[in-house]
Amino acid sequence: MSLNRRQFIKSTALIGGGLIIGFELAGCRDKTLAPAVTADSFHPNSFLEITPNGDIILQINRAEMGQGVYTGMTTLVAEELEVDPATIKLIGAPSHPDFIDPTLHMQLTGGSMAVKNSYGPLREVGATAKAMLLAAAAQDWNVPVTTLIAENGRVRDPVSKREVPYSALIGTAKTLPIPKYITLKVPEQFKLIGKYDRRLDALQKVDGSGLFGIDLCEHNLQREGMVYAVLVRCPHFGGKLKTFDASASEKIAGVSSVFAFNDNSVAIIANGYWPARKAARILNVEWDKGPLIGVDSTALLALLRQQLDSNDGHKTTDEGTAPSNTADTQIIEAEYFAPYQAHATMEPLNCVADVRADKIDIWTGNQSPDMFRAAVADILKYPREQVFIHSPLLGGGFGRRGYADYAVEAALLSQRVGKPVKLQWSREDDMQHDFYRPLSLSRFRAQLQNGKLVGWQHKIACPSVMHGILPMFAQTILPPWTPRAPMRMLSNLVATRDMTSTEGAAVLPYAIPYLRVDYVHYDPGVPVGSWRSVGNSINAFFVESFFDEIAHALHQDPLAYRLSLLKPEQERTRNALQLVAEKAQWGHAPIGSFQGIAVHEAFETIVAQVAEISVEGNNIKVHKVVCAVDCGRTVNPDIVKMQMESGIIFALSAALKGEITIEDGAVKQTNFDDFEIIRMNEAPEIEVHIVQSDAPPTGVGEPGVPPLAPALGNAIFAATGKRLRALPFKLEMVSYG
Amino acid sequence: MIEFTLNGANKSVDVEADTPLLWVLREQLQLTGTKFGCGAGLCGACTVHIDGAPARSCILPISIIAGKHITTIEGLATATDRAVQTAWIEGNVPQCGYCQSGQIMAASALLTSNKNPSDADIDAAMSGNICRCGTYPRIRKAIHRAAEMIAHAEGAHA
Repeated sequence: MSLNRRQFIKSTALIGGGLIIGFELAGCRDKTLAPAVTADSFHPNSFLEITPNGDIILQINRAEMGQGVYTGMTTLVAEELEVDPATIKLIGAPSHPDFIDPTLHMQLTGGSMAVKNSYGPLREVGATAKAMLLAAAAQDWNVPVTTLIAENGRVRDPVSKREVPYSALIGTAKTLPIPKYITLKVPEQFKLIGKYDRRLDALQKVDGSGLFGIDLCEHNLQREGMVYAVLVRCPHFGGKLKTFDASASEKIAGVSSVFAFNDNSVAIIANGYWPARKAARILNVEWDKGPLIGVDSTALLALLRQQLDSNDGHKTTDEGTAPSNTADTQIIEAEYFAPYQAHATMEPLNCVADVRADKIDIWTGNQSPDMFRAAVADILKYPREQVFIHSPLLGGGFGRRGYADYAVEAALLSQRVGKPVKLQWSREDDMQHDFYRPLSLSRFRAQLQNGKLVGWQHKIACPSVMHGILPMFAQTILPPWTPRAPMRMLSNLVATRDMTSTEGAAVLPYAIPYLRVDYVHYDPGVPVGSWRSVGNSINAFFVESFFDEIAHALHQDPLAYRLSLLKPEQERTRNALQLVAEKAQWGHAPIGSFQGIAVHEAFETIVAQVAEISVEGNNIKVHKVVCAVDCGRTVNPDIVKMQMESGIIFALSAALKGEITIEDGAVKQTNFDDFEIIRMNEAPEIEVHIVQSDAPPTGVGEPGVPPLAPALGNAIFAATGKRLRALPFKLEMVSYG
Repeated sequence: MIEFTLNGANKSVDVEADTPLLWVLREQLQLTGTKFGCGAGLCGACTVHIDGAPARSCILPISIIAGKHITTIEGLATATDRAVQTAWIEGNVPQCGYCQSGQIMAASALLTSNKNPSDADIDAAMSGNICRCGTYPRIRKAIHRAAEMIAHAEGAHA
């Protein structure tokens, strides 16, 4: 089961205009299929079923958090099944072996992998069902299957003119064996892939009917004795609850109990969110501030700097030979900084948990039912099979909803009070108890000789994201009795050489005679996690800004210099740069406007961007961002564009607006007034151009983020001559720390 | 007991007077299309219409709603509302969709009072609504498109 299913594919030969594949078909890996949603349906694999009344139901093993994955997955199935994607009903898949991502070994939405890893398997899902429906018609009508045509949810026989909907064939189809080999379409036969431009989740998101985690219980659980909970958590990381006085809180009408929870929170249980929140606001509580007492962001920066000074770290890249300095060697040195960043999903975290003696039900927006199931089951000591994760729409994820902390809290609360519990985080809770994008400090040293870049040394100090994720992955993949100690040792070891800390910096598209990258792992104790594009969003800013510095030092045009240094095999990067330059009319900004360019590859997708800005006083106005993306073959071109737009504005908030700072070991920001997000009046015009490609599709949820900050910083330099080396950009404060 | 009109129907609720309208809509009346985003009137996810004007339901105590006409996303019904929703779907505006109820309520209020808003009008009316997915450029286009649809429909009826 853990073997990559691609290893089972016997043949990829083109025969008869189709791609024949076989052996282990998608959605049939496990001996027992995932439960069907309805009885009496035709259910050839875990993903798909067709009901007697004609419904086509698809269980989708990826979280829809805005990135368009429901539409993407459905397009792939519908292409082969020959149905209108809009006729397919979509349901978030539960935990089941057939829903496991082949490369992650669990069901998880992240790493911009959904379309990339589903491109083959979900077409197989559709093609298998279609093959069986055709075979059923052939058997029912006693005609050769090759004469039949599947089209628009029906099978027809052009000879006899007979025609029936799929639902009329499911009785026979159910009796047929799963075919050993199936034929997939070749791209010339595609009707939907590369063309389908609707969003299947749009209607429910414009009429208020779409159900997010926060909406579920109001409709179906409230009458079963569900109570509402809020937690007052210790704001100081690593701190503990010292004492609390609940006498005022308990007097609020609707509050049923107030109790110490874990060792760092106070729980308030009430008959609604508002009474619980009111009680939380007047709770009298004292904290033991813990290990980070007195620590603030300035101190953290100094600590990172100390690490770069004194710690050799891990040699991530060492290519070529360090050139010796000569009399005419020019050295350029610079230090770059990126702060902690919050995810700030629009839907504050929430979870409904119903812990019973024999089962646990969890309703919550999540990026991994498998990780959530393992986390909840293990801490409450239930068999994992008795934990059911129900996955609705997500009001944003960006990496945050891969962490099961809020589901574990809700489950423990339900166990404690013996009722279904709806735990609702406030915006302030969400802002102050995130798994933040790590802060990161970088030091560069470039050697230039005879007008050429001959040496690039880059040292990075930051906390490790994998340090926290690895034990979660291991817990999910391994049985609950697996000893934890070796895993902790392994994750400590991995942290010192975490590839996400240097992704986008350890390998460069540019040919430089000497490339040296070092990583110093240093974690001050503020929780860190995956934040849309992970290390890429930080390192692209560092690398593409410093590269721009070198271009200017050599009096070269930033675009021409990039193109001149690209390695020969970087054809895709070259194309993306040339396309974006052409579309943005590089070098011809309107009078008073200035351009900056950057390119970055993340998750095998290449994105180049040109930012066009003007500066008035200290105010940076971003007028336009032009973007070129190469993500292989596109499945839904407009969703590719949407994701680029989304990544650009998400990154723009982090480049111009909000940052998370630390004071006394706690996050200083609380809500959208002190952690600002780009708003309508600040949103630039965005133009996205897709590089045409026949290569297999790669992801688009994250790669739009990384190039924005450097493109913008480079434009600010073009406009002002000032090189801003810290995020978020502030013209009034060129130095930092 | 506080009485008001919700989406055209009379309602009465028995809750503490300081309970924000948002939680009455969601918990007492099970109308979950109106979303909780910040609890402080900063993000617009909870936008509803009160006597036709956009308002932040997360900071409005139910006591001051007495006697007023409330419209939520579930109650949108005018030609302008339909044009906005249609333009939103045609333009592939929603991503995660969580903020979109509030965005649509703000846009429908704008187009009801201003049938042909300029970009500056859109900035003024819509900058109180945060979208973390960054759908702003598409919202702007959709508002212009909805304005066209409304003008076209009115022209056809004239």
